[in-house]
Amino acid sequence: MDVDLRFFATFREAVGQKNITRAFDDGLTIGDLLAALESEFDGLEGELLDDTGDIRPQLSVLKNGREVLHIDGTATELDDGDTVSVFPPVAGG
Amino acid sequence: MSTHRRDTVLRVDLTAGTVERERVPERWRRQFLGGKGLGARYLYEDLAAGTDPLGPDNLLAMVWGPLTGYLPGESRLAVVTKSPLTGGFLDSYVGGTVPDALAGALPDCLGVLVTGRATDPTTLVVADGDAHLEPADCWGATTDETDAAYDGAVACIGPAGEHRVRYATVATDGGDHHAGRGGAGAVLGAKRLKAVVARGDPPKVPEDLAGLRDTAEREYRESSTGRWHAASGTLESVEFADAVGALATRGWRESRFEGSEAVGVAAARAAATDRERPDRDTPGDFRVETDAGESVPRGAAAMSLGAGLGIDDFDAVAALGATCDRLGIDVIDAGSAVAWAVRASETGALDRSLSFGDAEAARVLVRAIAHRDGDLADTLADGLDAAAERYGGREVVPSVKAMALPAYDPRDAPAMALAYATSDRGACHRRARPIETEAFDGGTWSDADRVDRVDRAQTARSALWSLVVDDFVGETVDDLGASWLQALGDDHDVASLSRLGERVWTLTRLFNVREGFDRRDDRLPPALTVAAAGGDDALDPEAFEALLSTYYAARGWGPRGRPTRRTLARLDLAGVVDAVTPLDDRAVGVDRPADD
Repeated sequence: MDVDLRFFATFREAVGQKNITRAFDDGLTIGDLLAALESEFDGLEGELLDDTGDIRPQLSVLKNGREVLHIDGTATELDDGDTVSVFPPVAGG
Repeated sequence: MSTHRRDTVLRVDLTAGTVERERVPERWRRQFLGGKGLGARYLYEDLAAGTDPLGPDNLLAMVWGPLTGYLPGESRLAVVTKSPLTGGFLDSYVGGTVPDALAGALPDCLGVLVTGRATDPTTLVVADGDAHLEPADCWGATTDETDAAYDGAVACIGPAGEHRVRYATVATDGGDHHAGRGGAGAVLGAKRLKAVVARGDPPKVPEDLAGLRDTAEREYRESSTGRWHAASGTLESVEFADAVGALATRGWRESRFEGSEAVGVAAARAAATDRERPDRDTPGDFRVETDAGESVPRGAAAMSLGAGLGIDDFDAVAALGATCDRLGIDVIDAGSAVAWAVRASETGALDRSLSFGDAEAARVLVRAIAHRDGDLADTLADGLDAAAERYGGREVVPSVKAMALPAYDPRDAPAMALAYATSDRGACHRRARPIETEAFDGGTWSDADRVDRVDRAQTARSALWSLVVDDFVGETVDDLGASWLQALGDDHDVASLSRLGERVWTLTRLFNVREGFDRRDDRLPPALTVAAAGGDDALDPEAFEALLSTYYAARGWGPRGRPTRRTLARLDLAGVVDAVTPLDDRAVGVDRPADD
């Protein structure tokens, strides 16, 4: 299945672009996805998950526009065509 | 430690043509510090209720703080006056080279207080510990032309200020920076003060503060916010707001903009000739060339001129921003005025053919507004409410206290709506911006949580803006500046500074209450009770009234939104309030009136 990924600010710099699409096996969770991203991109290593495998504090991860902490956290399941957005703390203006 | 004590102000009377120095009362200095607080104190003391904001009796205070030039990041200046847009309190902040040059040129001063009205266009020149008035030969010039006409750091108005557009700015560094929103530029225009020129070297950082400053700048550089700021400036806020469905688009019809990336940070990066402060760790926004001149597009421009007007061409948005910068007109209010005109033309309230996405038509209308050229532009120059009053169509583009809402759409963010509604200068996203977290986890918040986030931020920023801190690097001043002030020999601590912040916020409320503001002016704009196209989020007016009461209770204000005597006593304001400022007898949630 394909998942669309959107990165903001420092994460965009680490990935080199804002939007990418990646193919994964079915049954993927947010935790699996974030771990895979940390492995693929050097600049994301240690930036998304803490030592216990939870999403790092102040980081916001949205599945189709909804904060995953209010779904099932890292256990939130993903389906083909889902969009996942990854934000560091926002610096507004 | 040895440092120059800042304990005077310069009073400039443009009618008499005089400049005099006076000492700041020690009690005021201690209770209000500088910046917002000291400016508010002078404004409340010096103005009578009902003073015409564009008349000679209005005061415009340019105030810095005890730590200006020493704090991490960029030095900033508070411009405090009675707003010709809202009729209430206005504070606006501007950076660039002017704040340090003023503080350097007037080493024992905290500010310059301007009253009166000059007979002819005038310039105030500040140098060598004093100031004098000169004729201004550049009336009619744009902000960049005015900057080029002087030797020194220049704060000035453009054509919009000269024509008293009620959201004209005071620009520094040729229009790179602005004290925007409620029309400080119109106040200077009415006084015929074209420019303030400062010739001073930046204050030397005292040895005792150098370590604190280095630590703060390093912490910011390494923080998540600092890294975001270095990567994106403020421009990515347009993409953030779009991603969370909180981006007012095409005159508030929609809350997502398909062109947000096209006007966002990647486009700016590709077009950039430089960064704003290329030699700093956090180098600021991106500098670009446009057909209207050089520009530094910021998040507010991308949101209000891009998404707000449906323009998805980066160059066109940057050029429109550059046009605003040179005219000295606020980008949020100018964008909102154009958006209002387009929507009013669509509904038939306005007999014009205007459409979203037409950048050239927007530039023509902004130029006309800045010069009050024609009936429509003349009316729009007085703000959204004035336009709605004349042509109808009040509901289409929201305002609070006659100030247009910035483009963070709060229809799914009640705390953000509360921040807009209770902001002392009218709808503003800088006194509290809970949407940055509310967009992600606001669904779990109670009313008490919402109020807590809003009033804490308002109070903290009131203290920090009395210092006056850099909006971004200032986040590292996590003790409200206590350790910095202590290093100068002051005995403020976090608790006293937090109370100072609450005191300042309450004093600006007293100013507005004296001008006739009350609960009705903290209203929810009707446009926010209607869902955006394609969405189902809208605010419930009854639920919002309950939220507002919770906020008043937390502030110690009564049901009409007025402070009580008990609250004033707690904040050492009992001796400040005058006899004509109406107060509430008891705070919301308090059964009995105070004995006093």
